[in-house]
Amino acid sequence: MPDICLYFHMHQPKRLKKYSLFHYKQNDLEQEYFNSSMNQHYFEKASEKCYSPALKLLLRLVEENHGKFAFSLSVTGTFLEQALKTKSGREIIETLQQLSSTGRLEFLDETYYHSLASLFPDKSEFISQVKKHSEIIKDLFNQTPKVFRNTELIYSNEIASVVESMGYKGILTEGIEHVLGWKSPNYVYKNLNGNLKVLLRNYKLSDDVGYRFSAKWWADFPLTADKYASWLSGTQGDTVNLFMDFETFGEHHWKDTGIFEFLGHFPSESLKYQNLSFKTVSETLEKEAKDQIDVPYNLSWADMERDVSAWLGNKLQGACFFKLQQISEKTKILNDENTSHIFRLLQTSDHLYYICTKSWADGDVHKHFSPYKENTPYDNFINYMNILRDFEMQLDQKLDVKAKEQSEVLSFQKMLNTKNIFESASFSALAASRR
Amino acid sequence: MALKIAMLGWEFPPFISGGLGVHCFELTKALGERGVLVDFYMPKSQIVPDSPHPNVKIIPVDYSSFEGEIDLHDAEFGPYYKFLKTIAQTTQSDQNSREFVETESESYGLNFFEAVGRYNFLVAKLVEIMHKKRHYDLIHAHDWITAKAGISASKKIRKKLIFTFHSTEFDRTANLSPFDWILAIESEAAKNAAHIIAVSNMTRMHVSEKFQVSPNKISVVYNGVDMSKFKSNAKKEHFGISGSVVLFHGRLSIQKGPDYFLRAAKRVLQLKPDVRFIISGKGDMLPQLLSDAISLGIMDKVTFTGYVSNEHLPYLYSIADVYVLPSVSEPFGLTVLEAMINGVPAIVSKSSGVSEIINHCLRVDFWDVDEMASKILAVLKYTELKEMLSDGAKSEASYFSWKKTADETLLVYNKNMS
Repeated sequence: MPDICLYFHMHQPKRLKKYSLFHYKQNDLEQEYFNSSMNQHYFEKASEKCYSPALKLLLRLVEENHGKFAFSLSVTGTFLEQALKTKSGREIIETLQQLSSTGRLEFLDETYYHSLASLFPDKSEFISQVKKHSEIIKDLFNQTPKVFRNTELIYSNEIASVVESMGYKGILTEGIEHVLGWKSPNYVYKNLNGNLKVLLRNYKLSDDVGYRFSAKWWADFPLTADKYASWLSGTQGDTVNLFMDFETFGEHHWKDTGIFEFLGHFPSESLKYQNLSFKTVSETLEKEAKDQIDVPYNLSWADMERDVSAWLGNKLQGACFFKLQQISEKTKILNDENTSHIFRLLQTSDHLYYICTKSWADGDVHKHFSPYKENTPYDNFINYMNILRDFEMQLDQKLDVKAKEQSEVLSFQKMLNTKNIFESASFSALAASRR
Repeated sequence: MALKIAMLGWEFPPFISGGLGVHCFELTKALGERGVLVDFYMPKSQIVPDSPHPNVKIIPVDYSSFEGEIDLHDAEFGPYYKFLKTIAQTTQSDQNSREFVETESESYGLNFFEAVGRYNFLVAKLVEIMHKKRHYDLIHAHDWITAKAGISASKKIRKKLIFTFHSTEFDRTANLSPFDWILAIESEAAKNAAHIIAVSNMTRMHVSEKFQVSPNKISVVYNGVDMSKFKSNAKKEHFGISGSVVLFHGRLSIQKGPDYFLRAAKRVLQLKPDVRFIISGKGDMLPQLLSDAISLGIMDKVTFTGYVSNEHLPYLYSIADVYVLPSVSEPFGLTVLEAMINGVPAIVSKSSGVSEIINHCLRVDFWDVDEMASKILAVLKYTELKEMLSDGAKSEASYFSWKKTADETLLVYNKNMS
């Protein structure tokens, strides 16, 4: 008897500026590196086409079904920051707040910056970003997430044990055959030698909506809510985990494909079946874990490979990622909140994604999502690397200043100490002579 | 029955001032290998070039073509013989007539145009005469310089004209001040040709728009590259060069944009002083470029090599870290493929044919000097970028071959045979 566990992911990156080596530098690094007008443009377009209508529809569905419809969501910090800056964005947050107060929307945690920090050998950067995400979700929606989803569902035994040590009860990842073997994604599992529950995406049924919904070449086109509900009802297992981008509704599939009608009828059509009900991620995790899963390498939900090659598949991406790690060490030494924030905005995985040169078939998908229209992955690399190098240079200067200040403080302290020692020594000598 | 083509050209190795000669040599060779019989007409000079294949016959053209060596005394040419003799006598007195092929074709002097006119006149006649013996199936002419002859011969022998645009007058003058009468010739050729071949889609669209012919009448056939001729394994050390080298190679004319290259060089040197810029080639812009380099204060970082023969060109590619094609309007851009087979990362003007089919290169607007400089710097600074571009370039360039060019040209021939 499967339950339906619906989870959506909501994200907007802060896209980079066309960065020139030959221009007058601005002091505000966020203005210097990020294209605020382009970001606002994309945000408002997506709000109008997707976020705003889809969230209002979801709110209506929760109300109409009197608690029988529920879903889960994670929203990146870079999304929320941009939302807070515009009127349409603040309305989106309000709708989310209303949904949160119904108790039928559960928020998950992820990295605030949609970064790949979980892949750094040193996990402290990753942990800080997740904490920061947890704080903004608490602030805005008054929820403390218990379940974690990593950027692009990236998962490995190592990441799972870090997440477990942070106190989370569960984690989401991809349910792909080469990891599962004979196992079905429709049960709850645990991480290797641990107690972190793992929910696996049923990629076939998820992609029927997220990917194939508007595909005319698909044998099951057009997909209707009643047909889909009948498939779900006929599925074996404890849970059907349907994980997809929130942008499925109105962005990946435009309004005229009928995606909103589909979503509108999906809960009532599903609830017609005795054996189907909607559960949030935490409710799903209450089921007993059937087995543990062993993932020694990095798994994700991206591309055919389901690995991290979309972000780290070529030399150029490798060079950028290495640069990010080098900078990470330096920002820790500087320990300045604003500088760290800019650095973390630069860590958003989208920047690496646009440098992907994988097989041109996959490359086409990457191109579709690229905001830097005419640019090749080479151009995107140059722009990103130029920005990272500039940022590193600025960081080095700040570190120099800090080191100088520190050495001045140190030598001053040393002087004081020497004096004290001298004084105390002479004092004790004096005292001794008086004895 | 083997196809018989009367091909009208202008230059052929070793007399080359650009891509046209290379194209004709490689095309006729590959066509010959495919069993096509090609009579290649070209202006006569002191040395007759070697035929690239037994099926290709080089026919040097001037007044003397009508006697002696190609055996035109036959009775069947009788009526023409007298006529041609007259031309021969009139042209013989012209001191310039023999020199025209040695004249640089870029120096559009009056003699040059006269020579073109005379050449076209003679070729048209000669094709007409030769047809009686050779029975051509098609006439294939290249560029405006052979257009008149192509049109006229095609009418006389009633065979279709295939016309290849390697460039248009708009390209050669960078859209600034094209000669109307050359445009008129190009337009006439475009209209009279049964089918047009363009060396890129960019050129196809130009020809279609400017000369008002349907794009359906134009096929794109890209140039190839001969690995064996341009690949070199030389290294910088062999020439006593250290440090980074950025290369420009091409005619020093407004079309090729060497002035933008110099301005980009200035920008690069502001941020990275240890770079050498090589400008290879000759042309009418040389004096201006020299004075620009001096006034920009970068003369000590720029090397002007003058004319570099195809034999020595591979060495230049082998020492270059970056190849730049800053052309204002470049129908194809063969040198990019030559650089690429040597694994040299290429920065290519968006206004070029080659940029429409190459992925593993960096594209720039020719006027965006800062962007050009920024990309040069990126290749020099970021090892991974240089490596990926280099590997990508080598494998991508290997897909281009003259055999493929010939196959696609043959396809055009066959379609026009019915």
